[in-house]
Amino acid sequence: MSQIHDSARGYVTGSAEYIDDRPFVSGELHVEVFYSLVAKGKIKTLDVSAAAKVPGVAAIYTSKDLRHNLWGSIFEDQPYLAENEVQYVGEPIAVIAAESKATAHLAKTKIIIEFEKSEAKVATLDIDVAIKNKEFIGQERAIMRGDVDAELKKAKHVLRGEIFMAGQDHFYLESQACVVYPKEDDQIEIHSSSQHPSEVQHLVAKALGLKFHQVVCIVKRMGGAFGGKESQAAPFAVFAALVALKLKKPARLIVSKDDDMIMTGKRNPFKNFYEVGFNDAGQITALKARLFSDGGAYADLSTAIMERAMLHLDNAYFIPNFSVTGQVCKTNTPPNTAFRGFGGPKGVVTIESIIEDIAQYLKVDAFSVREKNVYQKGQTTPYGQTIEDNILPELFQKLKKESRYEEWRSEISAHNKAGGATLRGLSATAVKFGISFTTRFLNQANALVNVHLDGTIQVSTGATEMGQGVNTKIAQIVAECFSISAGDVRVMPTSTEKNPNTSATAASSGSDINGQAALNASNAIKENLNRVAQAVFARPVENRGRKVAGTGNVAEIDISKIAVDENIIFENGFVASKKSPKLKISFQDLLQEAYLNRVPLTAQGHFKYPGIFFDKDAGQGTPFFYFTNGVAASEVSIDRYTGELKVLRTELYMDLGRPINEAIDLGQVTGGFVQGMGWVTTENLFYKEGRLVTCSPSTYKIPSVHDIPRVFNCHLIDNALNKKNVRGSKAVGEPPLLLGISVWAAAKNALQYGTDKPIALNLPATQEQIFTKLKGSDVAAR
Amino acid sequence: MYRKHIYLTVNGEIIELGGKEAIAPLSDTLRYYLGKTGTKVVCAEGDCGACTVMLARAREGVYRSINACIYPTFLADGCHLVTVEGLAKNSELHEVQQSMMRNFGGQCGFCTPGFVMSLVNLYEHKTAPKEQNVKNYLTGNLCRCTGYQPIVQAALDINAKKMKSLGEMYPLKKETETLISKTAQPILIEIEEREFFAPVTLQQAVEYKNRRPHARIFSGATDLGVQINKGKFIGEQRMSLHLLEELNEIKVNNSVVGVGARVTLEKLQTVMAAHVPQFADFLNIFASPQIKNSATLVGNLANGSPIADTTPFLLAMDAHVSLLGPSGQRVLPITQFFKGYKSLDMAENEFITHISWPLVLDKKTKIGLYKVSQRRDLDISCVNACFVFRINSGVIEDARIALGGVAAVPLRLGAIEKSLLGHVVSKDLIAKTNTQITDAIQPLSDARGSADFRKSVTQELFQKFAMEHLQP
Repeated sequence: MSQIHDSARGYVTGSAEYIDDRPFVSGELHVEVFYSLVAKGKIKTLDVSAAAKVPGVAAIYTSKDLRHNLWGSIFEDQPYLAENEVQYVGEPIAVIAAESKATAHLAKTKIIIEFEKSEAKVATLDIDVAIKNKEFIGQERAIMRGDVDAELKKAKHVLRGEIFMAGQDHFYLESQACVVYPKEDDQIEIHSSSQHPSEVQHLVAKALGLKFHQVVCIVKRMGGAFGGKESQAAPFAVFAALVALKLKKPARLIVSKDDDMIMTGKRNPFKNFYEVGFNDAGQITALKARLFSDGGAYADLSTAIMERAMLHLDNAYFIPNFSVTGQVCKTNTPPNTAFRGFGGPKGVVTIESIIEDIAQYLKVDAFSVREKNVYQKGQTTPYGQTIEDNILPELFQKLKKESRYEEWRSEISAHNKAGGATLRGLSATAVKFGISFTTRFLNQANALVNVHLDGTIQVSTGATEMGQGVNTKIAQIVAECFSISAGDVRVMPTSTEKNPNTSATAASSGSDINGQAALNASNAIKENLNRVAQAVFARPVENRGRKVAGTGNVAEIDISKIAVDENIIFENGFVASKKSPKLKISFQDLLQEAYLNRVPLTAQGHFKYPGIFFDKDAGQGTPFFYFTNGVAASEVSIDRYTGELKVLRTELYMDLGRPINEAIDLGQVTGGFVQGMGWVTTENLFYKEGRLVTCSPSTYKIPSVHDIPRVFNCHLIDNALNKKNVRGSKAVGEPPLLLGISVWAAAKNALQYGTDKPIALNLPATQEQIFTKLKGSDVAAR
Repeated sequence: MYRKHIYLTVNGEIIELGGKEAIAPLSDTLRYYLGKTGTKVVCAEGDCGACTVMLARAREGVYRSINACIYPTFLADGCHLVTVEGLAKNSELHEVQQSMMRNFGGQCGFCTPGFVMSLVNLYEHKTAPKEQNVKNYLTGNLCRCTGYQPIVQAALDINAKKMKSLGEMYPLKKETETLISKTAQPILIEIEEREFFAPVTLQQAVEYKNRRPHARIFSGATDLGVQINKGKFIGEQRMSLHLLEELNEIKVNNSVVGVGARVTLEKLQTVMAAHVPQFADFLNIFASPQIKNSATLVGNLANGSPIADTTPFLLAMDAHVSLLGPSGQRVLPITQFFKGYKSLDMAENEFITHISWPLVLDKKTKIGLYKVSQRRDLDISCVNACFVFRINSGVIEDARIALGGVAAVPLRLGAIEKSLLGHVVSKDLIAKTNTQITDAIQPLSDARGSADFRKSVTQELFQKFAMEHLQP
């Protein structure tokens, strides 16, 4: 059985502490953000005087109260607080500090803001308009291979199309939250629900005119994040820190779910155009695509997200002639941001949709088209990375055999032919997810390991715990290194004081890089202990143990003179030499020896993914350390009358190498899949004049327990090939989300039944869209 | 004669609350006043279940789950409350907690206390849960991390033999007596201009509502609770019906169902299962256990929404609404009750005490209840419908068509119904009826669906009903 999650007891008893569970400190203030309700406008007047007079209001701050009012993870283009104009609904304008939440809310209603007339009408709220008007953020990027135009001309068949993919709200259960405590000498301590404490520290310091060493950011845990707290936790920390620093009082900012959904960015919507050439066998010979994403009003992480979308347009398939361009568009909506998959899903949906269309066009099962095109060992991607340890063909074959795919397909065809009240569809899609940040310098981590004299260990890394179990995995890695129980290793809250200059816990890399850094630190200590053990074993038996060590009766051990001996082993709380059964000492006694002999029991470890680089201008390189792969087949049922969609069965196969914690990895798989399924089906962001109307779960529908596949089988396949990564494991955070796309592909497959043309289906495939397609096509509904 | 405090037990301990704590949402009272932060708040509108707690009326002793975020603390007056902190006694974890731990039911953990409480609710009411049952009990809990599979697994892995019911964990004999005697008295709490009143007799209720016609009436508070949390001003005066025992009754006499204003949807579903199973099944997807355990049928109607899910059924059943005011009781047919968008035939000094309708027990009568929403379960409808047809030897003897979400008020399509009587069911007739239905409705476009979609999906619902039940 897998090691249970290190917070499991806290979760089930309600004692696990989140930001708003922290006890109130005397004098603590509530912070509220006053934000724009118009999508675009020049500010004519901003009058906070009436609000400031509400009894119980401590202060109201605007842009001029910040020392530095611009931020951005890639481009510094976004104001924390609007100055002369607003660019989106939800853009922060003023910060209110009050004695109670109710007072802060009341004050919010007393702030007067007026905009210049006519400005509001010119807002760009639609990606199509932005594309037409060339309202762009950053430069166009491209990845090319071969002569696509020539090959498209030569191709036997060519299909052209476009597909729109809507955004998705993260819907982390704990909305954005932080509390900031003022300390002496203008130091501040921030507790933030953030995936990126280092960035919070840096941005807060800069915004407030402090030095980095005056600011500590601590993250104990997050109640979910999914990318939504990678960059966008920082502004809230800035607001609370501003209050704490100015008023010298603790300041708590807890954003309500409605405000959070209105103010924060989403998964970027994409509009992709493509032209694909293929032969009679369904083999793709050329693909030309133009990708446009809706970045919202500011850059945030959108250019990096676009890059990953382009790098995943090939997905699991070898495309000899390839051309993709990517351009981020600017609209007057909240700046869109990281979300599990980080652009990858948008590339993958496009190619999987193309494959469904090719199959429909050739009147063959899409599975066979996938088999024809799947990467074979040694082939290279359009950006020049060679596919090593390729398991994709095997995954497809395993799925086909174990799910009895062909029988499954015949059952579905028979069902549809019979013409009952429902229409069924089946599709199998794949994921080949590149592991690494595409920006090289982010692929590094550091860890601090402190071994205590009672044999317990505290580990600190830059990884933040958002439920993904990174702390549990790191504890297991360290415990296994010393061969002690995982319960004797505790992973401490992430803090910039212990682990500076860290990267966001993102790109699925948290456990990989932080786990390896912790292992490197542990190994450094272990080597010292190995040397100490040799010296201890060299003494007569009576001179071992805590009584005599370091008393002066024996000479101090000088580890600099001792080489590491491979015969020294750590086993079940003891350290022994393979040379003789008599040479054995408890871990705890050895620690005592080490301490009394002035040998350090603490170490810092560092790790970077080796051998990766990507030339963004050329669109070429080896951006990924390795790939995490999987396939999933899903069967859906559509009510022919109402368009209601049900997922009947999913068979999913993933290669996660040798999991450090199988149960935790499986939880990532089921959770990621269902989250992806929500994106492609029910999660519908509905805006009115740039304002999100579906801003709470009563209108924004993430999957409920009834929506998961009726039969839901997730299989992790045995793969010892991957030796690259820590303990032979593979990153798991994002990849399974992309398998949720199989549900959408199955819906498309169902809608194509009885027609001979490809049916375009945008994301999400809401009941209304499915209904419209059903009624609008010559689907053999009845 | 009035008391200024409410009384309840929290994890076995008697608590007295007055002032703003009595009026605040229960989750706020628990988190910020009693320091029990295990109960989480996410949506503050009763949709995610992170705030789920178990509540039993002391005089009944049956624990049921509710959403603490939208539940005013005063509604827990006279109740035993168990929060997630109360499940582990003497540091020994409850079996539900142990199973959630060993099955990796929590990832980020924020929804976990709510799921734990909903599973406790399941085991309080079912001894051997099956997968579908488990899912029904978890309808009102959202998780964004696990994909639910580990949680369903945890539910099925619970060792029922190791389970202790909350009643066994907290016998509370003496406390129950105390609560019953304390709650015999009406409550009046005044905080500055705000006033809260809870009568113990209908007469007191009528007098108060006459004196304070703007007072909002609290019964289940599943709608008012949301409005308050979303910052809507609902007025300064509040009257709670929670001490009016006679409104807790649901009666079936001479084939007439009478439902009191305090009868929850959960109670209604249980009683309806024996009489109109189609309606009971519909209530099953209508809302989560937490909502059904507090929301009332009367509240669903009094809200006046054109999309209330019980209204098409009540319209089709020719239900009557009983109102009580200073001049006594007034009973009116439900079709007359809706005057316009969110406008009801109800004076300011009146309130609804009952809804009643005759049971249709005839085997030849077919009932079809439908709702179209973005997500099947626990979602506000885009369109809903109730069709009731009696067919004798192929001839339509009775036809009732009631629709919600297609106009400013819920509709009963009387003219179309009349035109159907005496006709033989045929494909042509159904097609003709569909056209008539389309002509009779004027839906709007909003976040839940466009006007066009509503129009054509309504047709499809009738088509579906016809295929399923009329067999042309």
